[in-house]
Amino acid sequence: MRLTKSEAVIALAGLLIWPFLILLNVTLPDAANRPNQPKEVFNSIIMIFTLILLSYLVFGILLKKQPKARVITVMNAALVFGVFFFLWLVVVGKIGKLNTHSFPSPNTVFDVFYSDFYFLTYKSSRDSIFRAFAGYFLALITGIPGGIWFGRTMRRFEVAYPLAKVTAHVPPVVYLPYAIAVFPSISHAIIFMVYIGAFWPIFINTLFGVYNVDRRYIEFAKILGASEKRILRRIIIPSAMPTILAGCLIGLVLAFVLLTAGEMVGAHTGLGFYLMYHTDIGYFDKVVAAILLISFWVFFWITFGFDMVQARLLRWMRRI
Amino acid sequence: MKAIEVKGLGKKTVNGEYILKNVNLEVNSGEFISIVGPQANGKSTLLRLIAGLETPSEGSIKVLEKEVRGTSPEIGMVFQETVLFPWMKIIDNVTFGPISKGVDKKKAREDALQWLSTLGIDKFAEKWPYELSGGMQRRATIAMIMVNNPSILLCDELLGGLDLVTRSNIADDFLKLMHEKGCTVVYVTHLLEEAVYLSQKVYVMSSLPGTIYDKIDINLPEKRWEVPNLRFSKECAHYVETVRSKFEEAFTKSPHEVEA
Repeated sequence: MRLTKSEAVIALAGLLIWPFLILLNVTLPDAANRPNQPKEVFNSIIMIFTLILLSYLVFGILLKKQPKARVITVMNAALVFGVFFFLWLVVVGKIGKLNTHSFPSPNTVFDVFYSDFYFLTYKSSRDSIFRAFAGYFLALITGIPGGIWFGRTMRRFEVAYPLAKVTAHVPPVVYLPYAIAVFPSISHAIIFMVYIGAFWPIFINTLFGVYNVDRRYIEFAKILGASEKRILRRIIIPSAMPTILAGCLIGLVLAFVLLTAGEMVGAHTGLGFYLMYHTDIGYFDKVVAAILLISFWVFFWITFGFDMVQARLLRWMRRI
Repeated sequence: MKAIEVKGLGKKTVNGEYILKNVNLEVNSGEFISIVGPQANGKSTLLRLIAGLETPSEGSIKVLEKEVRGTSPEIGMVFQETVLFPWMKIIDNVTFGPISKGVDKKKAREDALQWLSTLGIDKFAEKWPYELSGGMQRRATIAMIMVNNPSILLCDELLGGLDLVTRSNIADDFLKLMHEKGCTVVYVTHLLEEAVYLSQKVYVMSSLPGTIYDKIDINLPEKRWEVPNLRFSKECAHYVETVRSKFEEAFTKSPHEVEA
């Protein structure tokens, strides 16, 4: 493994920035006077370092094959997050010109993950992820088979397309008040909204992917004597897979967007609720902690739930 | 026995314009014929009709004395563009046909490897199609068709887009192969030299709407790959000249009737 000069500089910087940050944070106290500073300081840095680096480490090792590519992926991430963290730490935490209540320092924020472990890190995450995935999973098992069925012939496509065109662009949030009124619980209403939001991109992408399969593939498969069922399974679905997966990614991101929006409106648990509740009572460190946790979960599921499936299913495609 | 019998064949577009009009063609079993003609005159459509991918508007097509109704495993066809399924490895591409027809997987794999080694690309069996060069992809496509043991092979610009050396190499291999298997081949091309070198009869088609303008018998030795430099011989050049003059006639004289 040989790194070029600029790659080596990045790798070294990514490696050194974290010990430097720990040193900086330990030697220089936050501008806001808080008790039990030292323990908290150490915790927060170790925590963010471990979280980001570990997840990227696994990500890099699982997705990239060559050791060089792995090192570069992980070190790039370490450097980018390190610089971000450095700016936040210095500008907000150390200089102390900003209102420390409205703009909490990273030390205060990361302490929330510990001090509020049960409600935020465990319970809110669990409830939110359950809701997001219940809706998303329903969207997958209806959107993909539905899209395949409707995209299969021109006639069916012409039924589905106008319908999709009218319905898909309605912002899913508009269903929420009605869903809250009709469904037995707020959780059901949120799951329903997430389902609607994730369903359309998945369905439409599958529809177009299947409908636009290159005719030559199908004709050639026919020439080779394949049955309709085999053509569907071995030709049409793999050929449409890149488009289907693109729809699944949009659906996944949208699921989290709608989830938090829904939880802010009416839920009594979950990350969106946690965030809204603590904004109302003015605990902004907890708000920022919730925002970070949401972004972490979106990152986590896109990387581990999605990118890995995609890398596996599309391994036949030429990588740039 | 007649392998292919085309009588009074016509094909119209959706707008009612003729692409093919009154095409008559007879191919004996085991014969290698070429069809040459100007571009965009329905050569490919004729092949698609024989393969059963499209239905004729007029006339009839009989293959092995049976009316053509949809595709059949008897007929193999190589398209103008190389078609390999990019989501399958080369070996899976080649076994796709046999497995579709219900051949045992292990047997299909053995046959496929046999064909790949015949065509000289068995090293690449476990590669993805994008990892192969154009010529290798073309060979893999030929393997996909040949492993199905078709008794009739329709080739649309089989060697299109390949360089001269690869072209003549594949052409010789292909000719030998067809001779061994006793395949009936209909070969569409716009390269006259290639048509003359490969086939026993050359049909010249007119421009749109396409019809058979003339037929030229080529009396060259049957095992052409055994004669050194036959491609550049005087006889060959003579035939090419004959075909070329017919081709020009077909080009200029045929009425350009396009019905609105």
